[in-house]
Amino acid sequence: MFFTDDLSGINSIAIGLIVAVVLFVVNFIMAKAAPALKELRILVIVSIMVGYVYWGFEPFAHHEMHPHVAEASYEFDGKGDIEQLHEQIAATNKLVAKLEAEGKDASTVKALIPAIEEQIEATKAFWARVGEASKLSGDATNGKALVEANCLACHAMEYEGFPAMMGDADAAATYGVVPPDLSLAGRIYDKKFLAGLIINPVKAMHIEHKYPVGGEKMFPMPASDWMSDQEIMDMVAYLEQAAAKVKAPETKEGATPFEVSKAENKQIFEAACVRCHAMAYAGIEAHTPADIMKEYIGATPPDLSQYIRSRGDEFLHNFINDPQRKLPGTGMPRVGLTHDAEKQVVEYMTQIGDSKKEEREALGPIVLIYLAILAVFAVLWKKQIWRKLH
Amino acid sequence: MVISIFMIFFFYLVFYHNAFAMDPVNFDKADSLKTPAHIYPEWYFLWSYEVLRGFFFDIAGISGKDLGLIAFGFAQIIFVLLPWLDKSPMVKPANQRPVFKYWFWTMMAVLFVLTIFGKLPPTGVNAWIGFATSIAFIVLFLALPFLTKIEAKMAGGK
Repeated sequence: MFFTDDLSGINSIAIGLIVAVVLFVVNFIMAKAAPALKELRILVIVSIMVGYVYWGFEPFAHHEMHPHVAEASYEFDGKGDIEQLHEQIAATNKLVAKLEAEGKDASTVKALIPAIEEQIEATKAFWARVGEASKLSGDATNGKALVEANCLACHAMEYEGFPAMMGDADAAATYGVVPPDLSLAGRIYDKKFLAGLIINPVKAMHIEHKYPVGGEKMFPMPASDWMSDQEIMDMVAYLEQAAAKVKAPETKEGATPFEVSKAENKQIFEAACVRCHAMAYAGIEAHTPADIMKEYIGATPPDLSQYIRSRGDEFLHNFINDPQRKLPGTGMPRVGLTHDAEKQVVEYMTQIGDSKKEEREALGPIVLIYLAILAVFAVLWKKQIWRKLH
Repeated sequence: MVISIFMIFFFYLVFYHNAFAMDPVNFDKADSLKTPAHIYPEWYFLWSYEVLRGFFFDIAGISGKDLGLIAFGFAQIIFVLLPWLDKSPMVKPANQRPVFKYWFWTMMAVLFVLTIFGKLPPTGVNAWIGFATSIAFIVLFLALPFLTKIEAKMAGGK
């Protein structure tokens, strides 16, 4: 704010001094302008002080402990990924400089840089190809044949009449994680992301740190970079066509708009998150058993019931868009949701984690109007009581 | 009157921003194998927490931890002893007492700083500010009997 990041704690004192000046001015003006309203003056002054302390240990502390990251981007052009790699190089250089200043050997750390530079080039080339491919318009009929030949050995597409080959437990044991049903893929995932996912899933999902080129572990879905751009876009076109046919879930007659939207959001949430995450408050269990999940990514994915409260709207959007940005090294892949699908997911998390929100916000105005009327009467009453003295 | 005006603001928060009083950390499922990155007490204890951890280095062979604990104990008890530290016979609201009012507002400022820095990670400059404010807190209380003596003299002189 005023000082550099390293001194950031000082900002709160600087703001505090400004607040103190504001307090004096407000106190002075109110005392001159309306000397009779002494209690109100005290309320205003106490509010400013409380507001300052609250800002200091809530938003400000949060800002210090969780530094701001780049906004979520729905362009799927890899800019963020490349930026993060550049940041890695900068951090590595800093470490090298520090080690050298201390007179230590920095050669092993220095040796890491060419690999990152190589990764930057590969990432640039990958997203450039995705960008080029996404300009082509796909042929869904050809895409259908390609999807059937290339995808459905592992993936299901229930709505198209291709049920899963095996149960969740078996699929999880075989692949490490249950492969997603592709019925809704063409709707919930961004077109560019889907194209990128087919070309090279590890790059598109931004999990190279888990599956480095030439590493021990192989990502269960193979890259299909040998396909032509046209073929890839044909498959994407077919997935989009198939997803358009998926109907919204039926709700019982007389369902409220809230229930309808909750059911619609649940459909998207289940397609996007439930392969790995459970949501106990909605009675949803993860498709992949927790122990297999732990083996797969090294951690048990959390239950999402209360994540709207523990993380909040902004964090969730940023995180789903690119988990690496908020939590470098996490095993969670980039989900690749379109902005709309992502909004639905977060809305569903709100509908479950903060289920009374709509009711509460509907009741709010009534209570506030009641209190406003009460306040008017309270002022009049006070005036009447003290009339003889003032 | 003031209460009903405050209630409007309060219920606005309750209905539309009820997260204001809830620490997001409390909505994470407890996991005995995972310690949160930043641990801190409830907001109303942050000032004394900062006094506790303000002493982060050893002085004269006493470990910083012990010093912090001594300062912490001092901070807990000293408020109870306030009536005996105040040596001035003046029975007036604090804002009308010539010396005490400055002591009061300085103490408020110190408590504000302690509260805010109590939640920030105690690294770099933050740790030093925490230390300086903790010292200021203690010095203020130690100085109180003398300041109020001066005040008593001033009052007597009038």
